[in-house]
Amino acid sequence: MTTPLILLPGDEVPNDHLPTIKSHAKSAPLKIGQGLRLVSQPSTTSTPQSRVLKATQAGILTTDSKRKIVSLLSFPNRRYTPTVNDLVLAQVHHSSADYFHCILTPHTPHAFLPQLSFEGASKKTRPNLKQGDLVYARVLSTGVGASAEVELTCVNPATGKAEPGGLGPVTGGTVFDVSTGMAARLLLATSSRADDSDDGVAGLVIISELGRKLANVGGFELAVGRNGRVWVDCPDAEEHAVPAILAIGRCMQLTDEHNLDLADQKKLVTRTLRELKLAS
Amino acid sequence: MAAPIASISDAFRADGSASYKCPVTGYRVLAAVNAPVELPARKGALKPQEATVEVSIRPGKLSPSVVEKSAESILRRMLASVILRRHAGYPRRGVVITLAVVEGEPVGRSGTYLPLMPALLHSSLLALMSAAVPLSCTFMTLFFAVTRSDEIVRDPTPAAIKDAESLHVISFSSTGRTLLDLVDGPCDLDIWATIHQQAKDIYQGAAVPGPDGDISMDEESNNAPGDIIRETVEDRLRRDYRWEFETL
Amino acid sequence: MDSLVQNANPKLQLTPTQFAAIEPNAYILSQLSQRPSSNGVPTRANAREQFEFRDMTVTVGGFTHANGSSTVRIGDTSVVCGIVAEQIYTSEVPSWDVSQASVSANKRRRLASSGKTLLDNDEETDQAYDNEESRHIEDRCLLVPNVTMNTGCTPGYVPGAPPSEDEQSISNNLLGLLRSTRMIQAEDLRIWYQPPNLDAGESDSSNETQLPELKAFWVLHIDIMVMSYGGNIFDAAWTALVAALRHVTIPYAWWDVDKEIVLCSDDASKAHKLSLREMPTSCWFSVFEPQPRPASQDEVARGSLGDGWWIFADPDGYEESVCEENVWCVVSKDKNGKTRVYRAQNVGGSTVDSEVMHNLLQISAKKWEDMKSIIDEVVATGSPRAVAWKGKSYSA
Repeated sequence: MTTPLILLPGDEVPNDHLPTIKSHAKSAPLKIGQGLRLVSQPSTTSTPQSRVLKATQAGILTTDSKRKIVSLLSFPNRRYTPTVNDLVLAQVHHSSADYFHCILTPHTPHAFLPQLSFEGASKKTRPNLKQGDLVYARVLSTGVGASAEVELTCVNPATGKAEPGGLGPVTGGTVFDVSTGMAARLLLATSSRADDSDDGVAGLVIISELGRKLANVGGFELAVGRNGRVWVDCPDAEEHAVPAILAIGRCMQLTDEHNLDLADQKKLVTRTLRELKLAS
Repeated sequence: MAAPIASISDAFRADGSASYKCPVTGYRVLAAVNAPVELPARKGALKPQEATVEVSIRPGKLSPSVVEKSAESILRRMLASVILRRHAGYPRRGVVITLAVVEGEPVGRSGTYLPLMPALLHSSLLALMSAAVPLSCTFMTLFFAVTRSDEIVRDPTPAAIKDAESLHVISFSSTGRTLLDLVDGPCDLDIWATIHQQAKDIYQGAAVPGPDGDISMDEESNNAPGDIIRETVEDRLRRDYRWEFETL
Repeated sequence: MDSLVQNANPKLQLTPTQFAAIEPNAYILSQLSQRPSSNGVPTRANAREQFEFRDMTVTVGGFTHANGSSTVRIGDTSVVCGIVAEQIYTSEVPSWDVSQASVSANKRRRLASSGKTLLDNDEETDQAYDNEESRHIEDRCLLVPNVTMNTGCTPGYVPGAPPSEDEQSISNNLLGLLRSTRMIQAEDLRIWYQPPNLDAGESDSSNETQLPELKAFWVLHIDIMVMSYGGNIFDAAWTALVAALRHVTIPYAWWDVDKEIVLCSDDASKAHKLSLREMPTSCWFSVFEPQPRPASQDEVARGSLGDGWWIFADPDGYEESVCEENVWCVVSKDKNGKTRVYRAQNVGGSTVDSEVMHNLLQISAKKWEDMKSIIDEVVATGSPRAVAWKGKSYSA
């Protein structure tokens, strides 16, 4: 990979950057991801096959040649826009007869979480969530058209189980706000089990470092919502719980804010733990 | 001529933010964008099929007055023509743009906002990109003044602006269209046409980078406000995605 | 059974008015493409051609207590303008500096000695004087235009609400235009006091010392009320403002040394009119592009005028609500017939380029000639009498 191609809104995607698609092959068609759109009328109509993709946002062009997806990586601090299958950390605003109305991001319409969409929930056993309670949920649908309503779920509709694990109400702990870009990286870092390398995952080493160093206080739990919220708890840390949670939150936020590299992240972890008297 | 100074994604809490300073006029504008958001107070005015754009200008030293209102209305309509307001997730929502004039001479009661337009527009554009608001194109804005002796000055100084007969602001989209065309003050139609020709030449010079090693290269790299916008965006994106592209 | 089904699905019949209300874009587009007028030119929904302006009626006078007043009707838009002159003493002006008046005082003396009036000194306009003059008008807020919407002028107007963005924007544009056109001469708004020459014997030296003193200013309150909103209020407001300014009579005022106040004369022959430098005309155009454009095709190759997009001169309220791109031109012609641009504003879209803009400016210049003769005529009649102008079409 050479230098990444950066596009500005209105820029055309050069054809040699698109994954090759054989027109007659039964391979999947090209999927256009975030930040790009198909302009139906190519400016240079040389071949009928030539399609013109234009950027609608500023970002780095990424292509997934296996899955035939092109998309733009835009700025990491942008607002979260719900997409299907995203894991989010929602906060209950109020409940109505059948739904919990949840906040995903400030100043946006509430997302709907059906009261029965929890594992094993029935009319009688559904969870009784209060205003302000947190739910780790998956985006089920984002609706169509102008009245796009976001629906959340805490179960896999096919199996009725809370999949992937951990969906449902979260209690205890604390929530930290991070940028949406950081949330996506944290998701990558926490979902993959690559604890072995010193390189970290997605350029993040804080989670594995903290995991190693906080093992003596009983470890911690983390739920990363793509909407830029991270829930942290140290259920077994007893008197160290508060400083440990603070340390994790501070490490995440500082790494996010200052865009630290791996070496700096390690330093940050060591320094933070020392300041909070969690390590000598 | 000193090049403008721009930065992007400075504010941590806003969805998108940017700052832009014109060294010649001395104006520095801080822009923040929140989008897409709900505008409960404007329910009656929201259109079901597209997003509503709101712009508010906070003048640095004075309290906002009527002068800002008409500048806001120009900016709102100009930016609305660039934003893809029917993009998924945007209809019936708002794109809120807040512009704070941080440095520079305040605009008086009957003053004109034209000298501020390049800084206001460029900072809004950067902030919109920073918030990943879908746009159909980018744009660049040029600013001219005509002196009493009918001399055309590009990027005039505050003193020249005060003495100028007329002020001109022209914006070109990256697709080559005229997005904004403002004139304030008496000016002959012939001079008007000359300025437009000149603006077009500058725009085309900026859009098509000539063969390198040219004499005019140094001047041109300074002259095109489009370049500084591209550079700022690219620098920031490289920095933000350093973890992905440099570790490999 | 058949009849039941038919009743359930009555044939959908829309009257043109319903169609116009439901789908304004499609309606305007269908009118443009369906009804070519006699000479094959596309006609708008209001039966006008693209560059056809509406009928206009201008009246001056009518308000007895105002120094100047006018009424303008453009189609369904009607606007009333009243101008009241009030005095403000220089002693009441905060941070008034006597030296500020010195340049103009010198100028005044020079003019008085050379026997010229202010009007015919265009050639020798002194830059410092000019600057100071406009600064006086601006700094002292001598011109106060204000636009208010009358309750019931348009269905969208909420009575009792704070001034809308439109109203504020129009007021500010009026003020900005008064500034940039320098229509009003500051001298017309000054009230002087010439100290008596006490030692009349030595005439040479007295000329040096006895400068006239600036004692007060006239402040013009320009109130414009929109009685009915039928689109293009700015043109109506500006025309009303110009007509009313031409109609303004300012009484002769002098400084009474003993009472230390400004007194006004009720002698109509001593009163003066404002000497306006310019009288530019404002023209609004709306650019119509059929909406909604498909999301992917918002940059369809721009055809020529009339092919995919149209320009509506003097748009009515219905057209304004549909068009997003607007062009505003304020122009006049000088003595040599050259077009002067005072304001040009093209915002909200990407269809109008400099070529089209140039044409629109030229059309506005042609309209200026007509406007000038209307206002000249209406002012010349003196008594409240309406002058009507039949709307017509222009070409560049």
